[in-house]
Amino acid sequence: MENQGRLSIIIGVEQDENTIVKVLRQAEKLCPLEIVVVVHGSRDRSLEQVLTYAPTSAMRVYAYPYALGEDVWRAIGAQEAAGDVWLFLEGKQIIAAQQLQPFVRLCYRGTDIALRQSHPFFGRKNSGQDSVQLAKCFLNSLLERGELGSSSMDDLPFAMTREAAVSIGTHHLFVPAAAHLIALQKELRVAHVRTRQKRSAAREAKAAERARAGTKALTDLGDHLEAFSLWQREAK
Amino acid sequence: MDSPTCGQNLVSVIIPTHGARNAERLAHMAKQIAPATEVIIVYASLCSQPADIGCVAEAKVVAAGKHATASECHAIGAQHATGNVLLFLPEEGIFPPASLRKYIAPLQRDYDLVLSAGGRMLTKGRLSTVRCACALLNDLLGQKQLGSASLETAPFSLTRTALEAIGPHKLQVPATALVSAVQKGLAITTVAPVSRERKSSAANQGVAKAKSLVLQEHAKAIQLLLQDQNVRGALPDGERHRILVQVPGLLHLRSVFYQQSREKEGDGWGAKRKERSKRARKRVQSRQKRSH
Repeated sequence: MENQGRLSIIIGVEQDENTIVKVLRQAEKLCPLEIVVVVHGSRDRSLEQVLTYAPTSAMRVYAYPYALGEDVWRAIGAQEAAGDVWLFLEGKQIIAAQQLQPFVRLCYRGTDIALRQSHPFFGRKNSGQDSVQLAKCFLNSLLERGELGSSSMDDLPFAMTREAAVSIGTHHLFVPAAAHLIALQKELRVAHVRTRQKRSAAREAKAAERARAGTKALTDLGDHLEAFSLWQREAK
Repeated sequence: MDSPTCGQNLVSVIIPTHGARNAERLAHMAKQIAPATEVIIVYASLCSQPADIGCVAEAKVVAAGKHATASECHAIGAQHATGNVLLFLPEEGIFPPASLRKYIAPLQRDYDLVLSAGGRMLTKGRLSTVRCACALLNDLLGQKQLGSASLETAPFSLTRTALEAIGPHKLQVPATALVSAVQKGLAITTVAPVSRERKSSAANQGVAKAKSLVLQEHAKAIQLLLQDQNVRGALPDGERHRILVQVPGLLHLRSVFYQQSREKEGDGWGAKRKERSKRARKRVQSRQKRSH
């Protein structure tokens, strides 16, 4: 198996007691070198579920009694990962192993960052009403990568090589839009992977999107504004 | 110089152009838009020679730089306009005059600025990156109802008061001009765009702006919008403990658990359970029988 000596799976867990075991099972099917789990600010039984889980791969759990804040777990997990290719997953998002493998495979074949393909405006009545999606599209087109649509490092899952992460700076990973900007500025090979979603998963994604209308959406938009400021600073 | 009474009703129509071929027709069309019309034709490739400039009847002809964009032509035209209402047309824009009157009517009510409504984000399955940028800027300006409308897309019109508030020179960068218009509290509305009588040919696209330039201007406009705030536009930071990624993990006040894989688990840490041989299994079984 090509993943055995090379793949680190990094999973962020918060209040995910209902899904984390299923996510771990799918992750294990990839036979990775290691699984790095960052549990933070968990008030439910997520940590207990992770610790009682008997893995077939080596697993390290970093448990923080406080919430790290949006996406900080990515940078923490990246600092601890030992593999050549890193796959980032969320504890609340169950994705089948066969859908995850293409991300990793792209990285083995020379891509630096493999993102989830996203075309937000297809078949929508109120097309273009989501500021975050607009910001993602704008960031890609500003850096002459319009073909990426609204695909972004903001969306999970995505995979990246260790070299790519070092080139970006692992400490930048907690502001995904800024990391995405740096990756495109450094002309890293960024590609996207088409994922098939089941109807139920699509429904869940829509519900999550609706929920994003709150603070998460504002944080994501703020991240993009931070990235634009970074672009402006570099342009000067 | 026009009298103030004349200026109140006067509509200045500003048309950028790259060649002199349709100048007469453009001037004639613009004259029919309103009873009192001042036509300003801005030539992008004309040297300021009086002989050339005076060649179009009933129109004021102004020269712009050879590589001037449509927006730069609009800004130059605005500086020469004397009317109380300014209507900006696209390059070589031949429209039915009656259809352009809808850009003037809202200005006679309470509006200061009338834009052409932006189209869809997707046209024939392709994403319009410029419209995307315009829609994002409008969103950030708190003008979501404008969709992807922008000063980038002519026709658009504004009042003299609006022009003075924005500054005529700012029209050369439409995205920043729109930011200024919103920050000055101007009332903005959109109307459905009109279709041209004749589409401009590829040869007439001299003043068209490069897409990358439009995007860069939008990025600068976003920065202008953020200049009085922090880099995140005062939006939440997701309660991030940013400091943690700069200090070693030992100082993180965290617990670390190392879980070995099932295969390796056995009699002790890292030990591997040995599989019993057939002979050993038989020996155990016979021992058990004897004990019974």
